[in-house]
Amino acid sequence: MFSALHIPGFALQSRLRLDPAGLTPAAILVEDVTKNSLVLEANTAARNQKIIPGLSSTQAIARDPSVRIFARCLATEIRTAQSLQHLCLSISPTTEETRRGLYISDLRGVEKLQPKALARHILKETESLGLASQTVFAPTADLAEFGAQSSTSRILIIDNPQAFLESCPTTAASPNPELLEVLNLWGIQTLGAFTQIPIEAISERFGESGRELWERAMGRKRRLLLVQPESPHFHESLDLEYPLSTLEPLLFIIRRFVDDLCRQLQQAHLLAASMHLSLGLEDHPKWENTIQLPEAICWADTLFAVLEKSLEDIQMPGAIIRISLKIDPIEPSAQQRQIFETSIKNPWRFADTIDRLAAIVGEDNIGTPTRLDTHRPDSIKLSPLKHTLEDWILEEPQPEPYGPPLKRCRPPQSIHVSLYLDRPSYLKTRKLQGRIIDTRGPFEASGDWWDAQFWKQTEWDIQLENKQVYRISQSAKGWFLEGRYG
Amino acid sequence: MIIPFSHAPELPTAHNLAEPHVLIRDMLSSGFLELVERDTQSGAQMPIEAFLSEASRLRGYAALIDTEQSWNPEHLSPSILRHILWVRCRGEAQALRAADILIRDENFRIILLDLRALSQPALRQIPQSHWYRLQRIAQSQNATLIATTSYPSIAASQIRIDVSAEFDLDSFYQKRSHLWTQLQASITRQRVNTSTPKPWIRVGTQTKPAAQAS
Repeated sequence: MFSALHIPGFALQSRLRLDPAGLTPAAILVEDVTKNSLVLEANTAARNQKIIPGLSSTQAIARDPSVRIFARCLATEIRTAQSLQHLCLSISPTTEETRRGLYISDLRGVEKLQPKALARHILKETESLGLASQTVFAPTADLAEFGAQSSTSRILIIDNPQAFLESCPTTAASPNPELLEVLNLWGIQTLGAFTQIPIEAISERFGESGRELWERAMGRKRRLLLVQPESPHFHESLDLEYPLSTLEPLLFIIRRFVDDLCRQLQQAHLLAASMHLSLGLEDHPKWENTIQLPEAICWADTLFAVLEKSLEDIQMPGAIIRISLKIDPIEPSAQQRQIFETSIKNPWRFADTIDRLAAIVGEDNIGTPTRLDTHRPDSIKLSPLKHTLEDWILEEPQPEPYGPPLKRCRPPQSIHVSLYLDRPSYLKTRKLQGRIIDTRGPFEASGDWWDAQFWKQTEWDIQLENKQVYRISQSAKGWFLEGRYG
Repeated sequence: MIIPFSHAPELPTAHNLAEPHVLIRDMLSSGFLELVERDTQSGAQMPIEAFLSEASRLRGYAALIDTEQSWNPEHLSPSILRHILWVRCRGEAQALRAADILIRDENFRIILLDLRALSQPALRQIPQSHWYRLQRIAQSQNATLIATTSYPSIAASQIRIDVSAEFDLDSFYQKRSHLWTQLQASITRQRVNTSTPKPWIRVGTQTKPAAQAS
């Protein structure tokens, strides 16, 4: 069994799927947007207005002033072709791109798949790509191709080849013009009628080309599919015909990119580790953003949500003329989490929470406290909270601290201290003052004497009349209140 | 009702705060706890660290919203610190917004909101409806919100504990575990849902429900 996936009006559909304006009633494709350019393809609505390929764009506008004219874009065609090829390869590894918009897959080995269910799956997938498609199932590759060329129904399953050939026009086999002209003169309009002629007579009259067509129609000659190795690149880009100045059409195109890239990732059994979005701007340097994902995935909805959020509050200095999205793939981790491992329940929610907190308090004010390798007081830096913690790793037990914990003043508050017999005896700050009834100290501390970060201070623990216990320090800059114990 | 923290072995010790602790664990089941350290008092710092340390024992994550940027994590072990997200903010507006975001995140088991820097009028300006909303979210997320204040001001809290301690300079010659015995705690509000177990407080050598303890 062979299947054929056919996209009627491939070039026009490829162009329309990236049009943010959505469905358009009448559209035509031209080589370039000039007065004399010829119509290459027209959709059904345009054909209903008598606009057919071969007319000039001026004639097309005369027949329907509301017709939308699109210039052919090879880049979008290539991208659409790749997406379709990925779709076919996800069904069968033996897939041939017969021509742009027609893909034939050898289904031998996957016979358990029901043709109707498979056809519905293909139609659903192509719809998600924004394409209208036809799917044909036939015993041979040639019959599948003929079916795709001749049928107008979305799903065609050829169980009886002879009956099918009776209704299949000869043009579906794309014979050479000379052969087609003679067949028309003979009144032979279908392949069924053509195969009624003995092969010897065909060989005698038309030679090798006629014989080959007859054998292909009869299923006697089975050609091998030309399979091209797939090399995924995980990169999508588009040069826009007109600059974009609003977010909505930009997101529409990015969504298409994400869908295509996720399909490529799924086909390659890979996940997205990071995304790189680049926007070419009119009269300005390009805008770039690399997003490191909290967890490798290939869910299109989530990846798109991340990109959408990253663009929410951005204001571009110029209109967008080029869009490029690249995904860095990684292999799924085969590692199983350990029993004593702690991990974030929902990394995506967590990443969103951190982003929102950073917007409120600033990125420098969120994180896990980590002690720096120094004796300098209050040497703490904030590091990103790890998503997975290995709690089974035993650390060297720390000695139990003495005394109550310190509640720090950040930054240390400048104070006035009176001394009596070289010991603090009275403290005065903006909010606090009083006699010092007890002291412990001095505790000398210094470090980094070998460089410009040299520091030296003398610390005292003091108790005021109000019974509260404080830590004060003296350095070259004066006296400071370091914090309160308790 | 004054309950002395008189049995150090049963209470969290500073050198190994990750050990299970009945009091802290039971308080965490309340959903919304208000820890009051009066303006002229001290003593809240050790319970705060005990609550934060409980996250590593639960193999979860805790968040500390530090309005005054005053927390000193220097003596906590890295195995405890790596379970803690420290959010340093300025003013109650930032703190409340951060609490609102964190409490909705399903990844945090304990969220500690330190509002001790706020004066009584500033605390009263926070609408009670805001606290009730946080309480409801905490319950739905199975998280515990602990607000530390300098005045009792949160009507939505299910448990309110006033803590105080009188440390002196001789306290520096005592281990942290011994200092818990100097901590005084009084429960001034207890409104725990019937669906959640009542907090148990250890008094002497017997374990009694809080209601009986009074």
